[in-house]
This record gives sequence, C-alpha cells and structure tokens, in this order.
Amino acid sequence: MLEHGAHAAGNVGEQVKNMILHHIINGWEIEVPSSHWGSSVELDSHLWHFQLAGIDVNMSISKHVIMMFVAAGLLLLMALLLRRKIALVPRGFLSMIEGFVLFIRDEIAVATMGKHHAPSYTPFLCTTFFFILTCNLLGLIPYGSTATGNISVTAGLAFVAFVAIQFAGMRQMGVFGYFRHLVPPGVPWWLAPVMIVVEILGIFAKPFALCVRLFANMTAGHVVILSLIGLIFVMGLAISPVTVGFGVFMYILEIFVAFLQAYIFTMLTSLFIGLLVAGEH
Amino acid sequence: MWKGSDSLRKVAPYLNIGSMFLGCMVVGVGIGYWLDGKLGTKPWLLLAGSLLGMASGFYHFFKIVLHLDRRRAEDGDGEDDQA
Repeated sequence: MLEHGAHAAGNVGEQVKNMILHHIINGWEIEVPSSHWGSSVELDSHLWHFQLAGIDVNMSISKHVIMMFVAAGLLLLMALLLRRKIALVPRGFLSMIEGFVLFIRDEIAVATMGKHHAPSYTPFLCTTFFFILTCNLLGLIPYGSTATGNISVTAGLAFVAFVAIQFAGMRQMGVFGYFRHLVPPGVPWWLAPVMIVVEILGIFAKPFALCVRLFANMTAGHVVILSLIGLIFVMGLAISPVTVGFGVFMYILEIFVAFLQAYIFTMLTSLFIGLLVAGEH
Repeated sequence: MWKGSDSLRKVAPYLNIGSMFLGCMVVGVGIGYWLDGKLGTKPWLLLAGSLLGMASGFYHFFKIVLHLDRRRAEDGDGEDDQA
C-alpha cells in the first residue's frame, strides 16, 4: 500500500516535472484557445529542415518565435495607432507611453552618457525596452509563452546590444581610436598586455551578463509559479488555498519583474554605451 | 512614479553591476577551460583564466562605479562634458 502510494507519487512528480518543462521549454507546437484545431497546432514543417555541414537544422517557426512575432506586431500596431494621436498634451494610454519614453531618455540615457550623447541612442534603448517588456508580459497571459525565457532569444538580444555597444565606441573614437583605447591612457608599458586581455574579456563579459540575467530571471519566476500549481497534484487538493495564494503573489511579483528586467537590460546597455562614448578622454 | 522612487532611482544603476563581475569571471574561466582542452595544458590555463577573469571583474566593476560617479557630478553642474 505504502509502496504503491510512493510509486503513484513518483508518477505524479514525473508528470508535474514534464508539465513544468513543457511550459518553459521552446517547442514546435502552440496551444490555441479554439477547439477547431484541437488543443494545439503543430508548427514543425519539413519544408524548413535542411542540412548544414552535416547537421540537421530545423528552422521551423517555434512557439517562442511566434511570441516574438506577436510582440513585434503589437508594438508596430501601437506605434502606428499612437502616431496619429500625438498631441502637445498627451492623454490616456499615450501619456503612459510618453512617461516610459521620457524615463528612458532622462533616467537611463542622460544619466549614463550625458545630455550630449543621449538623444542619438534613446530610440535604440526605447526599442530594446519595449520589445523585452512586451515579450516578458506576453508570457504572463493565458496561452502565451515567454520568449525571453529562452537563452537563444536573450543571446540574440545581447548580440544586438553587443553590436550597438561596439558601434557606439567606434563612432565616438574612430575604429583606430577604439582599438587604441583597449589600453587605457596612463597605464605603464609593462601592464599593457594584461590590460588588453582584461579589456577584451570585458567586451565579451558584458553581453554575457545581459543574456544570462534576463534568461534566468524570466525562467525562475515561471518555474516557481508552475511548481506551486504542481504542488496541488502532488500533495492533494487540501493544500490548494495556500499554493494558489502564493501563486497569485508570485504572479504579481512576476509582473514587477517583467518591468524590472526590461529596465535593467536597457539600463546596462545604456551604461556600457556610456562607458565608451562618455568615458575618460 | 511612486513616492520614494528617488532613492530607488539613485541606487538602481549600482544594483546591476555585480553581474559584470560574474560575467568577467565566467568568461575568463570558460576561455581558460576551453584553451586547456584544445592545447592539453590541463590545469594551468584554467587557473590563469580565472585569475584574469577576477582581475578583469574588479577592474570593470570599479570602472563602472567611477563612471557613474563622474556622470552624477557632471549632471549636478548642468552642463555636458567638453567632448
């Protein structure tokens, strides 16, 4: 009897684990609310399979790619709709968006690179912020999934930030000046080789820090919420008031984290650009 | 923005730069480990990489802190840098 119970619990645990993984990991099927297509739509298509250097590459559109398309579409729609309503004194939704944009310009761009350089990088920072924010929030609605909870997506975003940072540095100092800057002025000659290695390490550590932070934060919260829900199946229905209460609390925390991580990603990108364009000369 | 956000706004840039330290460490150790496997110099490049990563982490950490300090001081003057 006891053995049987333990065995059953093990099975439930296995199922809960699979349920959590299913919701976190990228896949080639997407759940849909309509029963017309069944509960999920298969996205994997043999048309997008091809061989590259002996490795089978699957370029089918996946769940997270769909979510990024949705995010991009939403932002495009928002921009097109709000563009028509631009007024001297914005109202409603527009004033909220303007609040965000002003915050990014004044508190992020100006604070890290100064008034002179901030305007040329604010559009890029706004794009980064709103795209990450939309992706984060799309993971919190039913049938959604978090594209930013995928290390490949965050690595892609970090690569964009990496290119932007290097581009900003080269624009400010010139390509030659940028490479000369790898040895900061005033460093004794015997320290120069070490400084070059240290600086190059830093160049690659910056996007790495951006990438891992966003991925870990977005994934961790979802794992906690799903585990709390899964606890109901493991420990019985009696525990549900507690877990659902904690789950709702975590969900509200997740909304906060969605904003915070978008802010932090933007802030750090801006800071790294600021280090190059407004650093010591 | 809510009340008391001013202090949060001031502290926010500093909250995130710890990750820079971590990033440098991980990249340094990773490169050392990878080169060790390539060249067959088992522990030495890993050790050198971790040391360089640590040094690099400290260096970039202080660089960012000093940069933010200087920016704050310049914002207080209300005028941009001479560049």
